[in-house]
Amino acid sequence: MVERDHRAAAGRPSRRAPARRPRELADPAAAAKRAAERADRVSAGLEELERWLLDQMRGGLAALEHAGYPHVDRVAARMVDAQAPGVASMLRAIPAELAGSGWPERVLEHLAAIYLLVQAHKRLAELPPDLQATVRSRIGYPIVKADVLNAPGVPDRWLAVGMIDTVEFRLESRRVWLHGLTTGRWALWLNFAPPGGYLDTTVMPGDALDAKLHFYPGSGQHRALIGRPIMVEAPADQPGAATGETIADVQRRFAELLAADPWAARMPAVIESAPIVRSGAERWLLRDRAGAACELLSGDPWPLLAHSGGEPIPIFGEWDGRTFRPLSVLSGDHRKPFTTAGYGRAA
Amino acid sequence: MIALSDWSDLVTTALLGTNRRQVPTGLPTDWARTSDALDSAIEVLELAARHRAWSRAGSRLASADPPVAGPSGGELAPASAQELLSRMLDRPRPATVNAWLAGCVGRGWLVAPGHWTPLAELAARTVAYDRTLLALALGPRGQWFVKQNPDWGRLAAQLEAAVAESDLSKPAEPGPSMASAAERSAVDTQHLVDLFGHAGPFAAELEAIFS
Repeated sequence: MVERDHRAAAGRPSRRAPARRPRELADPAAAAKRAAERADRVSAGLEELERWLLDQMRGGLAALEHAGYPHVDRVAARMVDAQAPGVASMLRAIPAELAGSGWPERVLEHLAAIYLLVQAHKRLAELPPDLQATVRSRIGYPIVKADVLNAPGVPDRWLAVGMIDTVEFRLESRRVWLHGLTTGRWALWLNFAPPGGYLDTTVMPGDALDAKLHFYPGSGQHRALIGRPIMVEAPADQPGAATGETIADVQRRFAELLAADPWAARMPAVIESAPIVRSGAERWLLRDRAGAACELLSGDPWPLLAHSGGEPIPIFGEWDGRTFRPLSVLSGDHRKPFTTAGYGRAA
Repeated sequence: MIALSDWSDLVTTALLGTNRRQVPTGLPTDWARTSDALDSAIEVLELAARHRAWSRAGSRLASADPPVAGPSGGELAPASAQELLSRMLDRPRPATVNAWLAGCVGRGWLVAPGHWTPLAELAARTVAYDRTLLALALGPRGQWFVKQNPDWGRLAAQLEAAVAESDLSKPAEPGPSMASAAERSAVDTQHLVDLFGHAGPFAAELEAIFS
């Protein structure tokens, strides 16, 4: 059964790490002082950001459109200085939205999400611990991998069902979605490659592994590290192949996720559905077995139609609250899920 | 949820700026803090944050008629053959791909759906890819697939004509009857050997898989 032992995979602490026990600090007082200083820097940065956000509302988004990327990048850089890199990333996503029809709505919602995060940080102490962790994570407070790995793990046989690579500011990242066959739990294994580097290929779609997954703190959190994976033979039946959800089911789950994490951008799902061809620039639709339809977010939907042949098939992908991005087809014909670079490549 | 017209009104205010346009009145009172001292810029952001949550958590779903499914096909070529085709399509040459198609048709197999898109894209660009072999290897469902894309309209017509001209318009059955159809399209043993001979580095693998 055991084929490969990937002890080096996914977030194992470096061998060069200091030989301290988990959570043991060399100088707790100094660490607390550093943490307080960081929190102060973040708070000061977010105060500036709040003023900037309100200025955009007073001056109007039309001005933001004309000012373009440098205008947003300046404040994003300020957030990096303030040690709030998560907020900087949210800001840097705005210029890409300043195009196409409906951009004012999208940008307004985006700014509102950032404003909500600023407000949540102001009241951090009043929030439940899980939500506190979520807010800290969204803002970009560092999380020590060793701490995540030392928290209790979730043991299961995990199947990698889909993957997507993205590039943001020359930093390549890979999202590999895993599904626990016993727990039914979804997990996200995220890895990054700096410019010129390579993404980790330890776990790829179709792989199965027996492992404990250690989830990052925070409510609604999918991101996890893999502890001591043992690769095994992938099962013939893929998750969700028999019980693919409807779009309404997925919508309900996403509502629950948003209640736990209002900044959640996406959620994994298997929808038993068929793609519907649309002409011209219109986005294709995905029709589920109940007859409901949603927009399909895919650079090249033709391979998906080829697999479907016009009939419902279990399609794995990411739901963002409005559209579904297909990442693989969990076909019974092939043990490994069908996935293509065409699906997996998106900014 | 905030009504669409109210939301559009709010977006207009955000677009023009609260210095120039008031926050729309008549919005649901529980949607934002209500205070005389409230900064209208804050009000816009709070309303937008709530709208964002509502619309992402429960937007109304569209409905759609079921798509027209293509006619189902026959037996797919085995994994080894599909893997060989994948490698051929990495650097496609008509001679090698045609040889694969001939071998596939000769055995009464079909090309897997995962290859339909690259094959259609290639064949739409040049007639060097044998229309009859391609139509047979795609099978009825693959031909249906090609018809769905207007960019492949000419190819779809050529596939249809090739099938009609070859008197192969009847749905093919996998196995011996399909093989006889292949014979009628001149994919005989000698022809296969000739085609495989032009497949360069893939010749031996084609021979092993399809002979």
